[in-house]
Amino acid sequence: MTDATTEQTSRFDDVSLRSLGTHAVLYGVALLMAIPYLYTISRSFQPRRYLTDPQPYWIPPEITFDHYQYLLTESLFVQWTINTFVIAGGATIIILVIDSMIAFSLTRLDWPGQSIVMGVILASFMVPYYMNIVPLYTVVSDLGLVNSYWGVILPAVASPLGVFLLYQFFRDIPDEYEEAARLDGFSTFQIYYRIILPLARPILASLALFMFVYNWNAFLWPLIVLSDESAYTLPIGLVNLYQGNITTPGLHMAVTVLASLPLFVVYLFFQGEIVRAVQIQGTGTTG
Amino acid sequence: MGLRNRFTTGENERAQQTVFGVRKETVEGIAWSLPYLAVFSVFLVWPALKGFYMSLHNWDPFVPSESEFIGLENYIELFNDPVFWDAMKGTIYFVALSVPLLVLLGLGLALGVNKNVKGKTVLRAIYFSPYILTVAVVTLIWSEVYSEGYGLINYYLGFVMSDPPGWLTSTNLAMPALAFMTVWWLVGFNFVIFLAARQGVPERLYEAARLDGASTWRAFKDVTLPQMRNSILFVVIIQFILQFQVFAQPFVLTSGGPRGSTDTLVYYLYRSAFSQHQYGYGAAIGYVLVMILVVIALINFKVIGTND
Amino acid sequence: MTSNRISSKSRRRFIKSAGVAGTASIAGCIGGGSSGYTISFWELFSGGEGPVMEDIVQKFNDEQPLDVDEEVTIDRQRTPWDQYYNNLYTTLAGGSGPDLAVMHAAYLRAWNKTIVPMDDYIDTGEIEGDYLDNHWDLVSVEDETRALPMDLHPVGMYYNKAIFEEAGLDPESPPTNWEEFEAAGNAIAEETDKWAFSQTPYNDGFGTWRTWSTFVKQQGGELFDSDWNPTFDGQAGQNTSELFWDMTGDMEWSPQTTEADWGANAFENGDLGMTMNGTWYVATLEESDIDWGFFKPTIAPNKTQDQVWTDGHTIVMPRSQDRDDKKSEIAAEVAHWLTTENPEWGARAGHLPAAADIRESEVFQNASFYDKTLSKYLEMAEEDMYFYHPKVPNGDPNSESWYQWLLDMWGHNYASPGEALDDGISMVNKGLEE
Repeated sequence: MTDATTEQTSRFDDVSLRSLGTHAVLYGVALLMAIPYLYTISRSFQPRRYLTDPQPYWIPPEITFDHYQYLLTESLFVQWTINTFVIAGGATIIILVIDSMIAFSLTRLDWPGQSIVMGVILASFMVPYYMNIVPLYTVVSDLGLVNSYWGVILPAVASPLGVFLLYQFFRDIPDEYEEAARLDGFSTFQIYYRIILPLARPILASLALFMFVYNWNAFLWPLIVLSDESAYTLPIGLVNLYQGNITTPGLHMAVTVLASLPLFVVYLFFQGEIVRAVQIQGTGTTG
Repeated sequence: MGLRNRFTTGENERAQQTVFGVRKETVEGIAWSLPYLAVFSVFLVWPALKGFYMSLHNWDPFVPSESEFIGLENYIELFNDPVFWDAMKGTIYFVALSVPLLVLLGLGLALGVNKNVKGKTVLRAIYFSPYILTVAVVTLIWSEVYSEGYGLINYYLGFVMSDPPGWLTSTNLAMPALAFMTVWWLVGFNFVIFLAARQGVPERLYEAARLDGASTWRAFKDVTLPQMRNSILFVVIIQFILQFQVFAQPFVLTSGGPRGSTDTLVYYLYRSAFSQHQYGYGAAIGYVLVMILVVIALINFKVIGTND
Repeated sequence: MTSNRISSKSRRRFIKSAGVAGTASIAGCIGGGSSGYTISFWELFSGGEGPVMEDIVQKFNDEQPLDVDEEVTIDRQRTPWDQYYNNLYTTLAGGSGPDLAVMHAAYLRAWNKTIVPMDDYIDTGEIEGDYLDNHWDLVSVEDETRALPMDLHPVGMYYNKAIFEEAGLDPESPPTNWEEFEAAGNAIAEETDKWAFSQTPYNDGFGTWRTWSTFVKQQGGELFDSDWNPTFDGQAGQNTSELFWDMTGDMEWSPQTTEADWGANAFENGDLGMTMNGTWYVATLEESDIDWGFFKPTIAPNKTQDQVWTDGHTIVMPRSQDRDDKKSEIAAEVAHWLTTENPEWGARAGHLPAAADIRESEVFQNASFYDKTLSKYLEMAEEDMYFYHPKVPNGDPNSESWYQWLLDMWGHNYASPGEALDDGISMVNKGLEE
C-alpha cells in the first residue's frame, strides 16, 4: 500500500466523520423539536389519572377517546372550527381578488397618482399591527361590526402584504403578452383574467396558503372583537378552555391536536407553496 | 417604481379614449384599485391617524366627542410610569434573548441542511412545522412541558436535582422560558428563508474561493455572508419587529408575572386600553412602539447594509 | 359624575315621553307580528354553573312564563370569566351591548355609566319583597336599584377527609378556630407527605384576595376608608401578610409556587388537605372522587369578629340607544324571573339565592350538598358574617392587576411581606385612578 491511498482513506474518514456529525446535530435538533408534539399526541389519548401523575407516560398505558369525544359533542369545538374556516377562508378569497386587482392596476395600467398610492401602501408596512388595535377597535365598533365575522375579516384584508408581493410579480411580467392581447382586442378585464392571473397562478397559490394559515392562527384581534363564546375562532376558544376553572389536561391536549390537524393536513399537501410564500418575502425571488 | 413608457400604437389609441373627459385608463386604474383602497383606508390608514388623535386626548369611549384634549400628557405620564418601564425592560429582554437565537439557529440549520445530508425534505418539514401552529396551541403544549409540579422537564430534572425550578414561576427563568418556546415556534420561518437564499448563491463563487485556497471559514465570510446579506437583513428586521410585539405568550402563560418579570409593551397596551379602559393611554403606547420600531429598522439598515 | 345626573324619576319620565316616537317606529319591526321579543343576555358562567344557567334559559324559552302577549326569547351569550368584563365594557362603550347582563355587585358603582337602573322599567317597590333584605341592599347604590340580585357566593373552607384521617385528625370534626386550624395544618404538614393548605385552588391574585381579606377583616382590619383609599396595610393586613408568607415558608403548608391552578390540581389528586374557595366549588367537587368536607372559614388568628368575604351575581340592564321602552320593561321582567323562579341556581350551582322563598323550597333543601355546604353558608348569612367585595367608585375591582402582588407574596417573589403590601397599595391606587 502506498502513502497516497492512506492519505485518501484518512481524508475520506475525516469527511464522513464530519458528515456524521452534521447528521447527528441536524437530526438531534429535529428530534428535540418533535418531542413536544409526540408528548402532546400521546397525552391526548390518556385517561385523567395518568395525566395528573407526575411521571410522564410516553406510550399511553391505556387509551381513551373521551377527550376527543367530549370536544366534538359537548363543547363548541365544531362551531369554532367553522368560524375559523369562514374567517380565514373569507379573508383569503377577498385578499386574492382585491389585492390582485390593485396590483394589476398599479403595474399594468397607467394613471396619475399611482406611484403615490404605492408609496403609501409601502409606508404602511411600518405601521405595526398592534399599534392600531385601540383606534381600530373604535372604528370597527362604530361600524357595528363587533362580534361579527366582518369585524375580523375586513381588518385582515387591509394588510398590504399581498399587494406588495403581487405588485413585484406583476411588474416583472413582460409587456409583450399584454400588447399582443390588446392588439387582439382584449378588454382590460380579459387581460387581467385571461393573461395575468394564469401567469400568476403559482404566486397566488402561495399567497393564498400563507394568508389562510396566518388568519387561521390570528390571536389578539379576534380576542378583542369576538366576545360571544359561540363566535370564537379556534385559537381563542382554545385559550378559554385552558383558562376555565376546571383543570382538564387531557382536554387541553386533545384540543391542541384537533385544532392543529386541519393546518397540518394543509401543510402536508401544500408544503412547497407555503414555504415558497415565506421565501418570496425573504429573498424577493420566486425561486 | 416609476411609470412605464408605452410605445405601441394600440396603447396610444387606448390612452386617448376618454370617459366624460377623463382618460379611460385613468378611470379604469382607479376603479380597479378602489376595492382594496377602500378597505385599506378605513381599516388601516384611518385608525393609524385616529390613534394619534386619541393619544392626545383623555379618551371617553362613551362620548368620544367630549373627550378632553390633553396634549402630550399621555406621553409624559407614560415616561413617568414605572409599569411602562418594566414592560419596556421585559420586551427588550425578550427580544435580546429570542432574536439572536432565532437568526443564528435558523442560519445554522439552513447551512447544515444545504450540505449533502440525507432526508432533506423530512428535516425541512420538521423544522418548519411548528411555524404553522397557532400561538394558543404553542402555549398549551409548552405549559405541559414547563409545569413546575407536573411538567416534562422537571420530572427528568428530578433525577439529578432535588428541587427543580419553576420555569414559568420564577422571576429569573420565566422570560427565558418564553423566549425559548418562541424560538421553537418560529425558527422554521427563518430557516426556510435562509435555505432558499443559500441555494441561490452561485456555486462558481465557492469554486473560485476554493481555487484561491480559502478555508471553509473564509468562504463563509467572503462568499456566503455577503451573498445572503439581503435575506439576513430581512430576517433580522422582521424578527425585531415581530418579537417586539410579543403578546400572547405572557398573556396566556404568565399574565405578565411573576412580579411583572414577563410584562411586555403590547401586553401593557392591551391592559391599558381593554382592561383599564384608558384608550388614549393605550394609543400613546402604540405610537411609542412605532417610533421604537422605526429606529430599530434604521439601525439595522445602517449596520447590515444592503447590496444595492 | 353624580352631581349632574338627573334623578331617576324624572329621567324615567323623560325616557317615557321620548320613547313614544321611537316606539311607534320600532314597534313595526320588533314587536310586530308573531316574531315577539328577543332579549339578548350575556353571562360568564363556566364549570359547574354554566350548564345550570343554560338549563334555566332553556326553561324560560320553552315555558314562556311571562304574562305578556308576545313571545319572548332569551338569546344567551356566554363569555368566559377572564374576558368577560373587558369585552362587556368595550362593547357597552361602543353602544352595541346586550339587553341584560350578569354583573358582580362590586361593579355597580364604578360601572354606573354603562347601565340603566332597574327602577326605570320595573316597579321596584313592588318586587322588593321578593328578595332577602341583605341582597336587596347589595344592589341599591346611591338611591337607585342598579340591578336585580341573583345570589351571594361567599367563601368557605374545603378539606380532604382521607388526609385528615392520615394526619391523625378527626375527619368529622374540622377546625372551628385558629388553634385547631393551626394544629390541623401542622399535623398534615408533619404527619403526611401531603400539603396542608392552599389559599385558593386557582392560585391567582383575586382568589388570594378573597382569603386574605377574610383574614384581615376577622382581625378587625379595614380594607378601604370611607373615601375609597386603600387602607389594608394596617396592623391586621401586616399580620395576615406575614402569616401567608410563613405558610409557604417556615410552616411548609404549601410550596412556594405561583403556578396557576396548583391547588385545584393538588386537591383533586388528593395531595392537598385544605383549601379556601367559593360556593361554586361544590359543582367541581361533586364530580371528583375526593371524600371532601366543609367548615366555616372563621378561623383567623387573633380574631375579633366573624367576617367572611362575599360578592353577589346580579343582573343589570346595559344602556342602549336602540331598545324601546316596551322591550326594556320586558327585559326587566325577564331579569325578575331569572332571579326569583330558579331554585336550581342554589341547588345545583351551589350559590345562596337572593329570592326570599327559594331558601324554603324543597328543591333547594334537597340539594345533594345541602347539609355539607349550603346549610353552613346559610347559618353564616343569618349571623350576618358576610362582608361585600368593595364596590369601588372606579376601575375594575376583579382585575388581576389589583391583586397580583398577593400571589407574588405567596410565592416569595418579594423580599418581605411588607414590600408586597406596599406594592399592593400602589397597585390598587393605580387601578382606582382610571
